Amino acid sequence: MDDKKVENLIESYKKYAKDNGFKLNPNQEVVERLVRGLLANEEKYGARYCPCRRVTGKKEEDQPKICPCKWHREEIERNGHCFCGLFTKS
Amino acid sequence: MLNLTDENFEKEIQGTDKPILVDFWAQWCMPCSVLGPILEKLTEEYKEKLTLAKVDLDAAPLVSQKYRIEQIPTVILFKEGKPISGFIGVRPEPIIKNWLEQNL
Repeated sequence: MDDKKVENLIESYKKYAKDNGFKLNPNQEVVERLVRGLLANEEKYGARYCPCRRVTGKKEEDQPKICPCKWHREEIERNGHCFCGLFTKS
Repeated sequence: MLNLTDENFEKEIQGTDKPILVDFWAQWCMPCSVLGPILEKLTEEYKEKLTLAKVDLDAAPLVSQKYRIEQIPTVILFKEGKPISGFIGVRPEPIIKNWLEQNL
């Protein structure tokens, strides 16, 4: 997998997190692994589906699972991090 | 430890009297890699009573669909071929141990 692509996506999620009042997981290893998973899902399924959710192949059902997923805000608020651990509370 | 796929899942699950703890996981799932070693440790502790099985979602899309796996890690305890209890996400070891004690 292209390291530059991984790096760019991390930067993009970092900005998204900052703009929305939370942050990326401080553990760089965790972030990198998750981002590689997102890119692997993009290659395999055509979109960056959360690596911690099952992709069904039904577009409508899978749409909310594209990172940042439909549930990330409430999960961060409730648990201090999204289910997969990419985003954490500030 | 068993590695289950769509091909061998039912045969393995139905083919034993010993309860099977099934860990649904995927390669890139970080919480899965946190939970995995906890389950392996506990299964070693309960090895007389329990078998651990891992199901990689990519290798078992039909089984994952059948058991309505939406998020991973998902853990399901099977007894006599039937799912009797389970949980989603990472739990601390003492909580999982307590859950096993209640369900084995």
